[in-house]
Amino acid sequence: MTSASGRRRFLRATGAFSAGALFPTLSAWAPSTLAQASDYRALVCVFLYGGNDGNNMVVPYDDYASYAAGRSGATGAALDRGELVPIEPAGLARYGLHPDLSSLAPLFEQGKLAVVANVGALTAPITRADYLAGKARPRNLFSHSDQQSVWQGLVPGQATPSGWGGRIVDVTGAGNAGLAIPGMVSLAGDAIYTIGATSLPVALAQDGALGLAGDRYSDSGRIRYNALNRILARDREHQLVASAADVMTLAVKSSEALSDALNSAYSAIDTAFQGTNGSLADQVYQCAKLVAARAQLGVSHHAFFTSMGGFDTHNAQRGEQASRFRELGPALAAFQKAMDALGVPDKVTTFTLSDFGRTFRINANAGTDHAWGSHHLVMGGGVRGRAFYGRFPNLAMGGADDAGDDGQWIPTTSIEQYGATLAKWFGVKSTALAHVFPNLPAFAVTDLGFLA
Amino acid sequence: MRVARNGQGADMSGYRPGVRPWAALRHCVAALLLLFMLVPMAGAQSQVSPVYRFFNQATGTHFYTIVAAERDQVIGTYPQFAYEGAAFAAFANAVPASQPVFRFFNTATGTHFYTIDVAERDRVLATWPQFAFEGAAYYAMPGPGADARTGLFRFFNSTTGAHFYTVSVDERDQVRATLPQFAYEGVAFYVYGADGVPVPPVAVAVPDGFRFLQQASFGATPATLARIKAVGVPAYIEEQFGAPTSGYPEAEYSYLSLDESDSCSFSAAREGAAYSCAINQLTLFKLRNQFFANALTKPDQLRQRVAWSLSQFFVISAMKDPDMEAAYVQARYHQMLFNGAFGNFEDLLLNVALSPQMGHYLDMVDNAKANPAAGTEPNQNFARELLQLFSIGTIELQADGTPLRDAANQTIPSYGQNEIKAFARVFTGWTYPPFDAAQKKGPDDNRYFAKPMVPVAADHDTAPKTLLKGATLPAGLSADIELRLAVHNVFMHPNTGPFFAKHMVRQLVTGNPSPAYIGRVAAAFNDNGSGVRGDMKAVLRAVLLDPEARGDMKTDPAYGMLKEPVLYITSVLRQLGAQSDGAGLERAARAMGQDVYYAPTVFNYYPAEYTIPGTALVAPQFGIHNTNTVLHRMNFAYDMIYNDGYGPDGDVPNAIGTRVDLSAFSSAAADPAKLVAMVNDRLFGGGMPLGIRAEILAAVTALPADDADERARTAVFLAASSFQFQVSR
Repeated sequence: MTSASGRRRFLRATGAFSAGALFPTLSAWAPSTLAQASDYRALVCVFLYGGNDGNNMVVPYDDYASYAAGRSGATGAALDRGELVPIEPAGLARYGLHPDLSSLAPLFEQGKLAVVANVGALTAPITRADYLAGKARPRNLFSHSDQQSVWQGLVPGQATPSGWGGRIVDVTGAGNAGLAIPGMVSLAGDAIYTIGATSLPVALAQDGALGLAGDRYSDSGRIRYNALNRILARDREHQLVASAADVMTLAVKSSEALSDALNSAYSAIDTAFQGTNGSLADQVYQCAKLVAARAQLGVSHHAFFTSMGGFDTHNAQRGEQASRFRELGPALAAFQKAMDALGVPDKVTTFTLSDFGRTFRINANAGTDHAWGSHHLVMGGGVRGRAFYGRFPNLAMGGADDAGDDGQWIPTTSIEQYGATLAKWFGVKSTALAHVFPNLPAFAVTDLGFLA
Repeated sequence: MRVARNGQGADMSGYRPGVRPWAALRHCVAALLLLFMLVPMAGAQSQVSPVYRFFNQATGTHFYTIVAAERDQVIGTYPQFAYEGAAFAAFANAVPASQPVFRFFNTATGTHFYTIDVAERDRVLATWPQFAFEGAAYYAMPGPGADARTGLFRFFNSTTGAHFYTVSVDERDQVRATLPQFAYEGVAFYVYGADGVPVPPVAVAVPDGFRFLQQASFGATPATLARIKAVGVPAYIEEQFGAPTSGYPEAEYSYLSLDESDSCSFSAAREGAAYSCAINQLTLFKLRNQFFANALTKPDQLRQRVAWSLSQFFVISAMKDPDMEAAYVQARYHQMLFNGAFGNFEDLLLNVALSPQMGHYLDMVDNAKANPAAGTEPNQNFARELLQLFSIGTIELQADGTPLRDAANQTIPSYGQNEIKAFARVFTGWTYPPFDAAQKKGPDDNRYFAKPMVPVAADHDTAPKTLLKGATLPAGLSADIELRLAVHNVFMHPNTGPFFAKHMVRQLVTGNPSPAYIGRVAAAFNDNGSGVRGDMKAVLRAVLLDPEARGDMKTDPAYGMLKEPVLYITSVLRQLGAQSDGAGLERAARAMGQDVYYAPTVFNYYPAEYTIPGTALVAPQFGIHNTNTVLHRMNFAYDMIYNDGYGPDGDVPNAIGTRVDLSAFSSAAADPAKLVAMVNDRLFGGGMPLGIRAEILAAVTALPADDADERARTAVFLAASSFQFQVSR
């Protein structure tokens, strides 16, 4: 049983506002008196729910034989060498992107995209022998819900759970003007990634902010709206009532603060997104608008959470994953194009996360099952692109990089290392990294070097 | 001072704390003295109690009391008193160096006055007869000291003729700066801060029949409340066990093909039967309308609630592909849950495992034993989720649902990859039943969902397997035998009772049950009293008749749960007596985060153990409660009450739309208190908390008396959109 005094400071502050603040201003979107923040940073997370098969996203091209040895044409899920879109990372042999990510190949060649290889959940660096002996073995490795939590930053055993995106905002959110603009904006619901220890996100609908129905300016409308907000502050002895009401209070305040930005027109962004469709494109489109409106909003650090589902390809993987990538590739490419057009390409970094990778071995339904380490993409003008980071696994099933016999790659880069590199670029000071990634000290290298 | 039954009725003249305050204090002092003797003397500060503060909206003045029972009485009786929590802390009885703080009631202004100064007390007694002396309210320190005491600042409000007290420096400074009618009188005496002082929770009184209907139906109606009053909750549950099943009759979902045909086509004329067939049978349009129509109107409310809860446990989702969006596919599956809701859990497990819907959703259908030539292994998807979600969960549990821990205090996994692979091999060699429908077989109808899956011996792995708790299956068993043995294996695991108990309690009653409550429900699962394991009726009786579910008064501030979108929608409509054909309500639920039968994944609409940010409270329904979905809840209430609900849908036969009739409320609107009482009765069963009651009353009173409709709409909207209503407690 927690007492009301244990609630976040942030919520209490937004909960106590006078009736006068409830009415949105009707003035036009005024030019900002705030200086353009020169240290503006935006971090866009794209979570691929279900566990994306990185094995078919980034495929050895020159050494295709190493792939074909484990994924034969007979399985129905392998990619032919001729389908792959070749990319040339600096200092390595050629690899190939999945054909439906062809829109990302030019970004890779321009140095705006990098691959971080074989990232996964680790408590400490671990070998196959360690794993088989049960040493330092992370828990519940192949469970969607547990691994989504781990990837999003949940520290096991926390009484009040939080995610690393939210914890980044805890330590950088002070850069934002007032408390009306939360540092974290979610376009994909209440994921733990977005929840901080002392900060909460604002969640938007994929088509932008929503207003509260009902006229507030007539006599009766004003009475009703006033009473509604006063009621939010009553009967707060009951914890669930208070918590539920707090979300409403935040919604009212945030939608007023953000609605002008989200309802404005940005032709540069519209041009960049022409021809895209699907949920992810809608989500990153909203992110782009908030990036464009950063000065008016007075925001210097903004974190975004977006997601796609459908990556749990146990069955008929070829078609399923292809359709996912046909949405992912163009959405990411359009977003980067928009950032270029807004003149802030190096101030915005986009990165993927996922529950886990998938077995290199194909199953009876031409699909794959749950595995461990997988490859991820980082995109942005500040990325040292056209390169691979981390170590690409040896694709021998049952070999030194496999936790078992089916190609469940033991990660060689931890989520903490991946995230700390992003966090440092975003502005988290090294002294604050422990708050964001409590387990980072288990790993020697805390900056993988993919961001300038 | 007239106080109506249930605390309804407003006396606006100010509060007189009971006719004989000494009597109340005497009881409390006696109890506290006893407590005092039992508590070791650890220093004066450790004996402080919170002093509660109220704002009397009628008089614009404040009231303070140290007596929790008095606090609860004011909260429960006088809506004009806004409870503001613990303002500071003081001593309930004398401690060394303390002095009594004397309390007066000013009968002229209806306000209270407090002073520690004996001379002042005597002067008041001698000079102003309107001040009724009420004795020592609590004990405080007359002057500064070395401990953590802090000054209590005193003001005199010349407008109200009353005094105001606060320990907050910020509040003092704000009043001095902005409110000239408050004359600052300095520090009155010394008390202690309230932070960290335990505050006894305020008891919430909700009539038990009403609370039961929040748990066991889609919303209380006058008829169902009356029935419970007549027969009592236990008998009502038995009646509900026997009520005829609603659900999705086979005759209404009889187009058993996945493909369009001449008689069932989206390209046909909109008014014709072929088009109706397409939208009703090849999409979930009719099914989801019927889901809401059943919930709003059919009497088998408990069965429907349980079936809906089971569908959030044995999750399949139309999100998967167009097959899963065909009406008969979903209708047959959910009807299986309806039919099994009061049967045995093992039968549910078996029927789920054999259903082509689940086979299709989690890839068990056409799963085959390993093929070394192609390098493939059996698909693990269903095996994993069967264990993780449909029976035992990921960690070993004690009988009360709390985790078992090893010597290093770590949780213990209940299965590993070996078990997953073994179960994956069990679930090989099953395929869709043969197509035997009246319709012509279409190209997609090799996937047929109207009967259980059938075995394919050639694809079944017949090697020996080791399941849970070391149970072994020998070589050579058929797919059917192995499936039944595997289902029995998970059914018998000791985790299954507490794991399922937690789900049902969190779905029906409260998100944070005590472990003992879970233990009692799990015990009923383990043995219904006649040696039968998995008896759903026994489980439901245990869930709904447990003392933690029943009783008029609940004191746990985290009791209950936020109504999930479906329940919020149906509660608003049922409790307001709306007329509805159910159409279109799934759109409102989707906007609120719950797309009926389209769960985003097999992990349901929200995580089973979702915790409210910043707390350790489990509240799954908060997993879809965010700044976007919350506004959709508000706007749904607005649509129903201000925008005339939903009009009839042209694609629904005999459509009536959804409409709430507020005329009864309009008739009462000339008398604001009567209107609020009616809203309280319909939406809160009489248990509307005092705070919202006062605000609605004020809002209604402020609206013109000649606009009865606006008064009615405002009162109903403010109540139905409030979180006091949205949280079932």
